[in-house]
Amino acid sequence: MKDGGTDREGKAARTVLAHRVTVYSPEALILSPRRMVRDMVADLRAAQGLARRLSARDIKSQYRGSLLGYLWAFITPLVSTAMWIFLSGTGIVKISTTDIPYPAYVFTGTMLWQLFTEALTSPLTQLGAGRSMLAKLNFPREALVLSGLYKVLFSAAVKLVILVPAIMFFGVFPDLHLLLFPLGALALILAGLSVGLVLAPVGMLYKDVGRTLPIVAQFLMYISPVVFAMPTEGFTARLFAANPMSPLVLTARAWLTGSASPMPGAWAVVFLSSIALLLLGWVLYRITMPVLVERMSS
Amino acid sequence: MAEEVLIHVEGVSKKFCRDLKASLRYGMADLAGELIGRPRTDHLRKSEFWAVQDVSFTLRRGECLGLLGHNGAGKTTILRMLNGLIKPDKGRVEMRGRVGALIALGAGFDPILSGRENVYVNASVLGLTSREIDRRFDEIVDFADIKDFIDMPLQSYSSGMAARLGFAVACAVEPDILLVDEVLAVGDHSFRLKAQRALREALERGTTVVIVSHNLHDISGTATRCIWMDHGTIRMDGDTSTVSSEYLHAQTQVASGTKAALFEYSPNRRGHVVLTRVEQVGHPGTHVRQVQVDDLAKGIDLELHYTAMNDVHDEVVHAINLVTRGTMYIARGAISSRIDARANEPFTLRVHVDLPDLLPGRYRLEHFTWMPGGDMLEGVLDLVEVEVVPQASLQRLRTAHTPFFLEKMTDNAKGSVPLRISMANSTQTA
Repeated sequence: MKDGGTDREGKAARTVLAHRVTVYSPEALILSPRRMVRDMVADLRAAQGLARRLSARDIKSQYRGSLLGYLWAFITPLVSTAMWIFLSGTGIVKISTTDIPYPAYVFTGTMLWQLFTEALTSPLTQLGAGRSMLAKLNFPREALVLSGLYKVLFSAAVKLVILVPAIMFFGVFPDLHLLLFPLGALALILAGLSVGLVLAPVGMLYKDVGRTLPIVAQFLMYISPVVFAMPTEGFTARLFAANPMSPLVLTARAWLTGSASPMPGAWAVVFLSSIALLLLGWVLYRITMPVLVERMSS
Repeated sequence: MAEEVLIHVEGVSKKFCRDLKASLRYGMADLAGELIGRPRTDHLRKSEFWAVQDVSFTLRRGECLGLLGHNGAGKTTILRMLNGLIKPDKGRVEMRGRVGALIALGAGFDPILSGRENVYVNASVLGLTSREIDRRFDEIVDFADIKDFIDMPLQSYSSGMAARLGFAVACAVEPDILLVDEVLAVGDHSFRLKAQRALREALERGTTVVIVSHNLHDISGTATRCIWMDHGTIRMDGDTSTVSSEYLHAQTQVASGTKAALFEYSPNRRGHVVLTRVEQVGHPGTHVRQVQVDDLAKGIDLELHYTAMNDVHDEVVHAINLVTRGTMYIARGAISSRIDARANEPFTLRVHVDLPDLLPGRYRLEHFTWMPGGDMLEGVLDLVEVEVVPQASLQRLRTAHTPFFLEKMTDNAKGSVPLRISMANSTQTA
């Protein structure tokens, strides 16, 4: 961040006498896109070490204060799986048949969905927690988002460790497609992160965004093949098919449970668009940060 | 040769909004403006005000600038713009070199983690790489003086210890430009001394320091130059002693509600205590500027009303000089007394001055209060004007046991006679 900034002539932020000159002026950063991109890359690089430390700090501190420690990473998905198995087992909820045993379907579904929602809420949570740091210190702003991503990746790794034995317990055996699974999980995470990042600037100003996000995510889950199988006819079928989350969830689950992606084309489109959205969100985040910091403390 | 310029601030203004709802709305408008590349609006929108207006200054390597001013004068806002946390609405800021900020001590500290872990996190936030932290770790712990506690969770630290640790980390960054915001006020006396020494060492290394405080003590020890901010604009920019004495002077006026200059001050005064009023004993409530002496034998009895700017608990030395209306010293005296005063509280001293044999005419009293270390707490060049009426001198001449003496003195110090004074802490408060 130290070499961020703009200049009327567009030639500042250049190394002079081995010193970086930084210029701050009222001009919008977006007017000098070339420098902005260069700064973004430099800051992302500078942010990595910090992001690792911050995520390690949060993970350690989160579990150090609890009796069950890292077990908490598994408890939530286990409980929600148990709940869905109970609901379907007792017939309270009618679920169409799935091509893998239903418990495995729900278990993988909720785990994968959790990756998405964790990533979705991560930018806002990170910014909220880092508020005082943002208001008072100049550090590569990317570090906050990146450390959020690292935390989600950590949680994904933990989940993978129990996912595989768990589905094997339910009688589903992964095959070589498992090698693709990290990519599938990453696609889910990036989709969540990109939407979360795009919403973050407005969410920092208005708390409404932070409140709405979990509600929308909840609704989105019910129209995704997470606990329900893909409907084959009617309005819901069209809704599920139009939902960009469907290919992501189905593909990740397929790769995990030993089959090919049922909708690889759609998956690729969603994956690539979420990468594009992530880049857009990054630019937004950078450009709007000074405005946000200003409003944070005034 | 002039050192290179590290900070260049040119016509910088910043506006803030008083109303939260409006502030958020303007925030949205500004977000949109940033996205479509529109520059900041340079006019005030409804319920906005200029927090900083048209501020310019230049700082070179090794200079230390103190930013003085009342709360809300815009000091911290300037610091935050220097640090790039917020953008100026007008003007331009140029910073050269690595910038370190002691704005929030211990940013990123987590109470559950150990001191050691927190040092690594905090130093990373401030921009050190892991290798740099490894190298400076011992130095940091030594400076913070918490060797025994370093592997304990931070929540077991006292707030002073945590602040020391935060300061130690911030000092280890060794930036070209160091921004310090009111952080020296935390911690005990020895920590403050240590912090000031660290700042001076940084200055010697060629760091440029900008220090914000409303406490003159923090600034006068280190700053070579001061800017006095008043309602967002620069009221005065100059060397520390001039600006700080003017600043104090104004503070005193605000405190006492008067507009005109109270006294003529010594340029060396630090102003840890400020004289607010002089009364003649027996005439409470009236600020006297002139004392008429009808009887030299009685001397002069004054009551000096002060406000302490900082805590003062010390044996101090009072020096009083009797001076002709020119600058010739006729008599000088000194006495020590104890001052126990808490910051922002008034206190009163009673002083008796024995007058030597004086010719009729006008004289004035100078009064200086010194700390044992040599800092001048307060220095007033015109405590009161003393008018000796002809009858007083004549009467003295008649009753004098010794021959009347008053030679023409050409040198300030030479030939002056001892001035006997006595002093007492008055129980009466202003």
